[in-house]
Amino acid sequence: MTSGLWDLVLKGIWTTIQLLVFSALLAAAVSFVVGVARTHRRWIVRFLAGFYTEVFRGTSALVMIFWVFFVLPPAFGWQLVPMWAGTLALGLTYGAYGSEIVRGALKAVDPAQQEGGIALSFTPWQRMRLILLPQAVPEMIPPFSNLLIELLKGTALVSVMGMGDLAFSANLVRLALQESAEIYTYLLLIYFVIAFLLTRVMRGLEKKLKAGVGKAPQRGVAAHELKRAETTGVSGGGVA
Amino acid sequence: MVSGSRAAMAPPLRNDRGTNKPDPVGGSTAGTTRRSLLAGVAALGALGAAGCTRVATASTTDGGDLLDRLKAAGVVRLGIAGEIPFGYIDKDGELTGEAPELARVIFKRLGVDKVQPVPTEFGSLIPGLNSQQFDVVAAGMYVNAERCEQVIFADPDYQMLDSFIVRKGNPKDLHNYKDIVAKKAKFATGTGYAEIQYAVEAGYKESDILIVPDQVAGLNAVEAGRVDAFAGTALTTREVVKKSGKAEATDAFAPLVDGKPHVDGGAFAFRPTETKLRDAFNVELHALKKSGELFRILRPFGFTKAEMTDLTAKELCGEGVSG
Amino acid sequence: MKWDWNAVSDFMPHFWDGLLVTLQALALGSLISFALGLVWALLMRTPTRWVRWPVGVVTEFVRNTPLLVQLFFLFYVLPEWGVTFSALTTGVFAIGLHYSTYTMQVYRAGIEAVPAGQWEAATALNLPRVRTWQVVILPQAIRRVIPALGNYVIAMLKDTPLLMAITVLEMLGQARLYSQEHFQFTEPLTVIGVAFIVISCLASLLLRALERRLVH
Repeated sequence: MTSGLWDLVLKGIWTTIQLLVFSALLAAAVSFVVGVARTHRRWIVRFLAGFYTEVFRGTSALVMIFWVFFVLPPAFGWQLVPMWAGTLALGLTYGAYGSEIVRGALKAVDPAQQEGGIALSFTPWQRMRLILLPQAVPEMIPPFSNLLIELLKGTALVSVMGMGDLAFSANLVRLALQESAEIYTYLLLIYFVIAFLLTRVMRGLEKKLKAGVGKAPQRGVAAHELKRAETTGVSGGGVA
Repeated sequence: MVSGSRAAMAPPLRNDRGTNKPDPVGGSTAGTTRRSLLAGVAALGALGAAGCTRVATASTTDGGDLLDRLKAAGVVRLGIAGEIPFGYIDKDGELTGEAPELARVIFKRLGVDKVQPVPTEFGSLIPGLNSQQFDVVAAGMYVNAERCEQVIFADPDYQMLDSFIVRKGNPKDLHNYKDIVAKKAKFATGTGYAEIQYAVEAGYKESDILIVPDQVAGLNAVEAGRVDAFAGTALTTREVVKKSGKAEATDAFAPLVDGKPHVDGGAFAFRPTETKLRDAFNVELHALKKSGELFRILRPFGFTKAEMTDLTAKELCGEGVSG
Repeated sequence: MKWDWNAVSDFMPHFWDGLLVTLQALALGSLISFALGLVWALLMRTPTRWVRWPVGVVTEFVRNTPLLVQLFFLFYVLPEWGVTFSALTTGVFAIGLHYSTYTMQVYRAGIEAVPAGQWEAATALNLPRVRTWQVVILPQAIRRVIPALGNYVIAMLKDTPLLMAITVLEMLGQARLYSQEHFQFTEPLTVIGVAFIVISCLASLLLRALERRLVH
């Protein structure tokens, strides 16, 4: 592998990182908006948010990417620049998963907190902003961290479209050199390193946020149970 | 996925905390997340507004104003398909190939100094052109009637016959599409390739054709025994088997279209509205052909006099379609 | 936007072909992930570090790298080393391997959730180790985790379109092939997009019904 080809790969890494950051921001925005909407008083808001979630969770990310790239132009007369098309597709799809996380975390806040807020005459928005979100957000970080890794893996899908991300750059190297073993091994390692760094960053963020609400990481079986339940969606049965 | 029974306790009072930093009510945590969330959304909006998120698909000037816009920008984006020798990124990461090199010369004469490659899959070249992901298709694309309905072509810069990649020694003795059909061989070709239609016309069942993303995947499929033959242009197959010990290229042959042997011409493609650019391009192309410089540019990529052509796009598009 | 119903009816035969391949890939991939995931989960419980560490590293690696890249690796690199399978086989194995790293976590959670009293009772009754696993632990563990496994089946369904990148003609591959010959992508793509949503919704409903029956 020559240095010229490594330049291609580096460009690909940069494109992937950009795509990841943008779609993560969009997904976060969508998650919060839709997730909060799922707990709204009005039935119609909850229904619309629920509909969005079901549709976008049921759709395949790759199909959505193709749709945004190929169906949107003839339908609406304009074409999104590839980076934004990819961001839109990934952000909307992963935002739907994120909204479930937000909804779950908001529900998990002790109802007594809500009641206390009502007793103190907080407006709904103040309740959300000052009481619910600060307690819910630290709980959201581990599932969001998993979702971020899934999003990183999702960015590779744009290479099927021909967009120049890291996976596509490996494709170009394969065509130039006519051998695949070396570049695809490097590719797997690079993605793994990026995922590892992301996990570390998210774990640090979680610690900071949890300390902020007095839930610094505990030790012992109880905390282990908590972590396990969060990452696998399986609740513990009887605990000895 | 958060277990609902783990009820969160109210945040402890400030003076119980062991840290020295006082936290305002609501916590810097809420502030951080809400502020960073709003900042993120605002950044997204700003980037969206600033970074030209969309481009209009219909050009308004008659004949198209792309040439003027390219001259102003100083760079033209070429769609390529990573196919040696037509348009590809070589092992030093540089854009090269017969079409990019030709494009460099011609566009310079038209007043656009730089070319920028936009590599994609062959089957995505026409959709990518029409959705403005690049300005010209520079991949040596064959001109045929279906494609002429989607894009407009300049006159071909070369003509070419087909050939197969087969395992060394050509064990099934495959030399043209009739052989493939007669011997019921497993057949592959690339996405969006014209060769798909040639095989179908010779009688091969379309759903049995293995469609691979590119010619290297086709070579691998032949070497691995997944298929018996991969069809591509004669030059492509010749180039790609050079590095292989297990496969070889058959002799070039003309596929039959409507029963008659058909020679393909490969050309540059433009969006249907950009007739001005296409015509200007043709003028320069013909000048290069006349002076012999075209042949000089193409020769290093394996082209011989046999590939030089006077075919026009109009002929290859067929009657009834404006070429 | 023009919608051409003719394109839809032209595409439908290809759609059914693609759907069949999608469901095949899903079924086989799920089975592999269930089986392999259980193997990983059991291996992670062995006392020796020399087994746990490599298994842990490999599964972390597979879980944190994109399935698409793993597909490319298995499809392009294995033949270079002399191992060739059909595209569908390669794809099914890749999906099964990738998701086995998720099902491994699910099984682990299920096994750990079995009350310690069950282990103790098995010891008290002098049941040999294998029998304990077979008759006491695994039935309880697996029953508990079926909903979570079902969720991963739905996730696998939505990852089957990746197989088109290695030439498997499942639903998206068929849509793309059709579009490259007829230059109409909107109709086939929308048809398969809707198909995915409908199948996912049906599968989730089925899963919820299953969950209600299983989890008391």
